[in-house]
Amino acid sequence: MKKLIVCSFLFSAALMSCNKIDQPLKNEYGFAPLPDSSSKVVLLEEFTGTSCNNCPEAAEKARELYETFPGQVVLLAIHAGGFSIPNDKHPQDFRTQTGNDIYNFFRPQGVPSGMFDRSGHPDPGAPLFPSKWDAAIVEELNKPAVLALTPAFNFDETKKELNLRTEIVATSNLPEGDYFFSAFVYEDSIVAPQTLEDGVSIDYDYVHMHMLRGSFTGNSFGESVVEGTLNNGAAYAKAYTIKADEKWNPEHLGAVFFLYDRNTYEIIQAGSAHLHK
Amino acid sequence: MKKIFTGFNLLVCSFLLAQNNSSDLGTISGNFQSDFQYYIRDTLIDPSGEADPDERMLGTGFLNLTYSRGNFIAGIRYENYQNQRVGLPAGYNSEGITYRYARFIKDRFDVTVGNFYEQFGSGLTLRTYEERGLGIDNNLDGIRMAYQPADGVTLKAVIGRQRNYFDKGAGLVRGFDAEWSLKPTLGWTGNTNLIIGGSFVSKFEAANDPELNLPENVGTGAIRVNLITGDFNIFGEYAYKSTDPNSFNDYIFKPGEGIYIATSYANNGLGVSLGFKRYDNFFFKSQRESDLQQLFINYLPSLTTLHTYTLPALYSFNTQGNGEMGFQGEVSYNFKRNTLFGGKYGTLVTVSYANSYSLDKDYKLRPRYSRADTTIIDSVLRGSQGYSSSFLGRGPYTYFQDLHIEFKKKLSKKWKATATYYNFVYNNSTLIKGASDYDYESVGSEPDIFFVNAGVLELLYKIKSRHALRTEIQGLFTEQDRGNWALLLMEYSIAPSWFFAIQDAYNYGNPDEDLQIHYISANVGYSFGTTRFQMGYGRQQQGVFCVGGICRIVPASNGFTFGVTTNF
Repeated sequence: MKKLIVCSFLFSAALMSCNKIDQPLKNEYGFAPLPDSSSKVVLLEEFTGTSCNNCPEAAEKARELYETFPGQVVLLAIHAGGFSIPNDKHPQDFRTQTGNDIYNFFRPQGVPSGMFDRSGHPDPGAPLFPSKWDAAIVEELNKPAVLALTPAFNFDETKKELNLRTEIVATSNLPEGDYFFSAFVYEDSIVAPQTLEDGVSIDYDYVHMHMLRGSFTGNSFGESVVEGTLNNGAAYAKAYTIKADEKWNPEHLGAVFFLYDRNTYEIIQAGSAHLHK
Repeated sequence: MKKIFTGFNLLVCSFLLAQNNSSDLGTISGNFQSDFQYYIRDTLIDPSGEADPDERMLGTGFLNLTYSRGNFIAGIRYENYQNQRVGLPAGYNSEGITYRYARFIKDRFDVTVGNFYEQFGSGLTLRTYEERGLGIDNNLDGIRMAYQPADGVTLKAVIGRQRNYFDKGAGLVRGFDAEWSLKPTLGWTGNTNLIIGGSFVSKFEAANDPELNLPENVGTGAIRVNLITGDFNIFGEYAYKSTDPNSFNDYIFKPGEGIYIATSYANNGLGVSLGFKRYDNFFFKSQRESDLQQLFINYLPSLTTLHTYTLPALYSFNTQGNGEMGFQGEVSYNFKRNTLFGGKYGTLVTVSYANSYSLDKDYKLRPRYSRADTTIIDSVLRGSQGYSSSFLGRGPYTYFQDLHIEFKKKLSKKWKATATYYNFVYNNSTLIKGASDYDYESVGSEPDIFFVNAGVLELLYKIKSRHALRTEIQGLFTEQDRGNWALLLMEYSIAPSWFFAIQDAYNYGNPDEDLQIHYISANVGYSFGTTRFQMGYGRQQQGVFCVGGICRIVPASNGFTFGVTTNF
């Protein structure tokens, strides 16, 4: 009996193993495969801050995804939370009411982190740390595109107003839901101090991109489009006009918009438009 | 969760019924802890309102119940976080039974099913434990078996999944440990013993990374030796881990190593301890991607002193599992009474030094290619061999250094005093902000180092029988970070029931004049039997908690607290 028990212990030890990997990369150049779908557009809402030393790396990661999947990734950098509080070295306040509301609602466990189409909510880990972004973007892009969003976006120089009109057309039958539309203003190419990876150095000429500046809908979570099912071919339009803040540079302004199901907060389709692209 | 609770009831009840011919129904014991905090908006320390929860009042509670009869033990633990208190990870935001187990010990055979804690050796390959205050509980849910085939020989085997908040991690953990204590086996007499041991732990986690061929099985093995004589104790453990790319090491394909040596000598009032550690790519977690302190399989001893006085504890060490080397030496001597240094009652003097610094890393990046034309864009760590390092080579970065000298002395029948001086060198970029050596090298910068001096004088005055006054006078001085601090604590206790404490920590040297403020707290506690109540009011300063480059701010808060603990 004693030998049997000892042998069982040793056998269990022998069963445990480890894998030897000779070639870390799946292909010669280390490229991730492209997703099947070509028209699904995913929104990456990135929680960031000027005092966050790991955020430049996350922004670079976001840019990589943006370039890897051209036309299929929309970026929005949300400055909120403790790392975005202005201080001596980072005097500018890039927080917005909308950004604070989104941050407080989804409560990221750390910064930098990001949500892909707000998938995973209300799991506390829904805002993902950057190391998870590669897998998350592929998963989201592999979902079917069931909506088409077509924007018309312009700036009235005289009135200093931004006009956004978006056509929403269902290209498949959508199940029962509480469908909401949200639209935000973002600004590119804002030069402001940013703490770098080492936690010490500050790049005073850091160029902030895709920064959330405000909301078209006058609130942080948009307005209702339809409650119920959406049949293939159903079409809606949403139009908004807002005053451009004098601090915004119209040359660098853009709009991010999306339709989502208020029951889950998951975004079904996203899109973007830029004034001068 | 109801099913679990019902299952526990059935388990205990069926056991009782099966034994109903006996008058011994066994015993039930337990303990209970609950803490509440009512938050007050404090715009001075929290201008953004980040630490001002909508709930206004939050509470946590824990109940452990243990049933034992003869060689059978079963237990459960109920936890509630309603909702997670400020400063705790967001995952602690639920309630339920997080720990339940049944265990029997018979014929040198010890079996546990359900949740359990275990440690192999010093923990380099496996240590599951609970540290409630930090939000750590990495217990395993599965099976644990231990067997003693002969006196002094212990075999252990475990399998299970780890707790991850109110869920489980994705990885499956398997472990085996063997230990042989020669003294009882060979019948040695005297006070010398030699204990040798070895362990192997592996994890399995499915892999579906689009770019990398990740190993699904990762193993780590260790050998250890412990020689104990009358005066000496020498312990050493070496561990090796197979390639384990994960989010904490930037997905490098490099094996890991860990060495931990601790020696001590004690005789005739003299105590000496020496230790050495070298951890190289040695974080071991059961899930490649996880939150901060969740799902650690192994534990890396810090080999530094854990300071308990408030101000020195502001600069605590944070073990660097991705690579560090360090040494600790401590000498203490008890000068006997009625000698020159000992005086009338004797004097205990302790000198302690510890350090931690980077490994001598030579990075081996891999090229990253353009998808458009396959030209090389730059070089990255992810998917590379990581780096190479010479075994005893010292890297360019100091992470931590701690020198402290302590004098403990009874001054008279009524007075006791402890005086301590501290000197810290503190790499804030690495230890708090989570910057890696590669971050410094890629940016071409140097880490932010704080140089800190501190002193603490603790006085204990016995006023009369059962009445005592304890006073702490602390000062901390640095030209970096938040500048100088002064602290005064006064604690009046009436044994065994009451204590009253008031503390003022004054950050008078903060470079921001608006933050040169007093963090005042007051507490009162009352104990009767095995029950203790404590309530207080306090202002808590802000801190930052980082692991592996991802940081979480533990915000400042202000409010009333109430706590109760009891056991039965």
